[in-house]
Amino acid sequence: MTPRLPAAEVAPHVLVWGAPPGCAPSPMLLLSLLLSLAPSGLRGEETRQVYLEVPGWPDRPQNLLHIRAVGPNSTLHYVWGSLGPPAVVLVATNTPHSVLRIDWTRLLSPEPEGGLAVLPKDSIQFSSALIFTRLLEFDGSDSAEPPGKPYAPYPLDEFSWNNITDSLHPATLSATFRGYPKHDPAGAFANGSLAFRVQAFDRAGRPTRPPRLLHTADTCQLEVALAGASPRGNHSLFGIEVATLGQGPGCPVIQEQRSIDDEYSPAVFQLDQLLWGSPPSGFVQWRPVVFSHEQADRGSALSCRASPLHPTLARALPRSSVVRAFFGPQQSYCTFNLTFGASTGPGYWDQHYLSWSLLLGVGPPPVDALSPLILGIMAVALGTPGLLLLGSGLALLLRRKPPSEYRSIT
Amino acid sequence: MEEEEEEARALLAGGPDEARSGIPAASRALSALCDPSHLAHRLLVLLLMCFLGFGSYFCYDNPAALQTQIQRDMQVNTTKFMLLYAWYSWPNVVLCFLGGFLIDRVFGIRWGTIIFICFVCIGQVIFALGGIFNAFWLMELGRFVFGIGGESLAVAQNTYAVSWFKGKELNLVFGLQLSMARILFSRPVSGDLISLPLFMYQSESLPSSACVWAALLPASHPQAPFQLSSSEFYSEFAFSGSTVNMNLMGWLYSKIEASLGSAGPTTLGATLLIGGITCILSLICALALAYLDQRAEKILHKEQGKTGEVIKLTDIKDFPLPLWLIFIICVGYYVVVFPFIGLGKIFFIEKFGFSPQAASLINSVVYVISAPMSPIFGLLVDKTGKNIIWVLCAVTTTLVSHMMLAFTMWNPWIAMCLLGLSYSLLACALWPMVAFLVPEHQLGTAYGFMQSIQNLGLAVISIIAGMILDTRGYLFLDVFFIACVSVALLSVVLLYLVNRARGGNLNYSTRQREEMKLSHTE
Repeated sequence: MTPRLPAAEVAPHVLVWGAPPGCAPSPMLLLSLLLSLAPSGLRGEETRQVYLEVPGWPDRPQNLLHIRAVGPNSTLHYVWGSLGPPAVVLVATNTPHSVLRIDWTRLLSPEPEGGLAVLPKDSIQFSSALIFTRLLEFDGSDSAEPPGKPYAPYPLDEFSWNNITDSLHPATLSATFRGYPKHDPAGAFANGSLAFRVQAFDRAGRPTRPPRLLHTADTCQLEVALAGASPRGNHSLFGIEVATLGQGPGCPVIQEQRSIDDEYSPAVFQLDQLLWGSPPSGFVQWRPVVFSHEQADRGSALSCRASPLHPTLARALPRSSVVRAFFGPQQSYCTFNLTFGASTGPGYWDQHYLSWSLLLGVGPPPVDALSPLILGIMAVALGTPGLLLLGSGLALLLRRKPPSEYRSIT
Repeated sequence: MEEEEEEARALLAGGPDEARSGIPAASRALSALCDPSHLAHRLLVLLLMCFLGFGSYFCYDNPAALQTQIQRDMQVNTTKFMLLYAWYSWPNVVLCFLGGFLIDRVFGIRWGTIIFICFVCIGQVIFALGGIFNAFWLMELGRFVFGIGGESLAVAQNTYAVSWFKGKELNLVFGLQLSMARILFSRPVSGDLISLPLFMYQSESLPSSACVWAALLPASHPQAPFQLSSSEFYSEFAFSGSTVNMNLMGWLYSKIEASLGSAGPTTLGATLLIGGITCILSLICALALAYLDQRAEKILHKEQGKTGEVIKLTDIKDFPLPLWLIFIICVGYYVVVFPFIGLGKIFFIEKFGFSPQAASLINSVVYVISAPMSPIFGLLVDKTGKNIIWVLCAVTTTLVSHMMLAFTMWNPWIAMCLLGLSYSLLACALWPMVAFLVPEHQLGTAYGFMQSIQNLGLAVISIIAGMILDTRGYLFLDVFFIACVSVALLSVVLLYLVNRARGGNLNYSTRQREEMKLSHTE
């Protein structure tokens, strides 16, 4: 019996989950190549209906996750795939009825161009991609030149990934891609794995797990977690290489925003952002902090440094079928490296665990504001003495008015 | 003349050395340096007294200088780290009442000083051993023992100073010494700064000496009463090694780490042990001072110094309302200065991107500023009076300073300088007010109580600050401090109103006080 080829419209086996309330952080980060076109008139939505779909057949490897966040006037499609390196394609349309069409034959072929499409094509307002190409490792003991001498990186297209359906959590709208190298002669990943937890949101909120990035219905969160892998040195520093498609001649710039507010991320006053378009029609946002314990408390916080984006030729990077399927062949990408930790202080060596989160979405990035508690305390703290001063000042002024009727004898 | 005759008599009646030498006492003069009544000798004693407190002040702020290393090597969060400061304050909730009693009745000034310094040394050694054995509870115990000695040492230091310099021409040297001490070393954070029972036996000199004395308070913490004559000032010399400590300990740690090959609790313990050498230095000074004091007693027939402090806890129920408001101001104010500085280094590194050295420097600028400014503000408050208005200015300036640090990214040097100025001003204006509110015989109790709740407040707020920092971050911590300052501000305003309503004299200008004194004596 010849295998049925997928129809042009909808893959036969689609698992659909509805949109439960609440949100659970710890998304998995799939490397996605972000390709941003000029977005215009993107309208943010307050809430969306979120559907998690795993296209494919039960007997075939399930390595594609389609998150469809439907709002009253727009739809967001996040296509996370582990065909090749982990990647995400982010597409925003201006209609609640857009669908994702997958041509499996093309997608699984060596020339996947055209295998993925969002229809109707003219409803696409913005599209972009992010790919996680390599897991880096440095010898951190040489602190002369941070992060140190690099070991051979692990290319993430040579990892074998789990079936996404096994790790799907409809209640929290999250799914986890977990992988380890296919060929691991040194046995570094014998007890370890690299996990990308994706989480979608149907409304605005803030997770309880640090770094507590503020999310909206237009965003989804990714958490990269490296656990259990054996480092190649005593002071190994890990990192990750991220690639995105450049718009125009140059590469976008990572903005480092410093603010006074560290309420939700104690002692981290900085927010890093990568924006597509101006005004931004898409963004990637993260706090430059990595946690070396599962509880992600302040004592386990490590610094996270991002290198500037530089152009890289396509053939120098692991190829992502998902991105090529949607955007067509690309000549060059913009890549940057993130390095986790420093050679002294807490590090991966404490518990063989690292966790870093980022937020990915359309429109302008969410902006933190002071919490009502702080505003309330300030109002009372400044208001009470102020009012008392004012009141007593007025009272004293008024008391002086009546003239004294006493006339001294002299 | 009289003193020389006294000296001659003492020499004649002196020990076997004098008799054996056979030289007539009148023709044998002690060299200036060996003559206890001569200024040169007393300056030597002054120098020894300065270094008496050096070890204690240097080691007090070791945790702040090594915060990153302690938190990393001992694997503790900020809450537990701040316990190192809290445990220092706990014994002083009680000891501030007992210090004078212990020195006067139980040990005597010489043995008392030596015993307290031994506590300091042993405490620092236990603290260091906690690092070597990787036991944080041992470090806390070390800080507790250290605290028993450290705060009571202040009483002893002051009693020595009174005993040696009362009635002498000390005002010539005090200003110079004080400024030098302050500029070289800044005062560490401690509740002891605040606690000073002032005994002014001569009430006509009360305002001026109170103000100037209060100017010296931040540099010292005598817990004993002392005699003031109308033209004499007395100053305690506090050598606090805070600035030196902040920069030295970090460097020392990295040197030991390089030689031992790795960071870890052992490295930390070794660093703290080496820092404890300063305590040994203080112990040597204490022994030398005890010897010289005993020798001076023999030669000059002067009595062993006494604190003369009288503490009666039942007097507390007689404290008037303005005094309670002053207590609230005191607690509410100082809890935002000292724990903030204790936790400030990482704040400046993370929020403003300072290097660790620059962060240490800016952290200690509050003390460095208070060195020269305290006498100046003391004279200012002395000349103008109106203490409550000055307290109001100081508290408001601190509020502004904390708001700048919390809500803006402006250069923190401005805010920290403002904090240093207001901290000096408050000490000069607040403490003398206590003396205006209670009769002399209750002054010891009043100041002792003030110090006690001060230490209590510091101990509790230190822990709370650590907890807030771990869960909510620096912005929330600063807002919490702003709330504390606002409580102090509220109390100042209430104090003004109550004082005005009752016709009290807290806010009189100096001229009004003089007039009152004249009208009383008429």
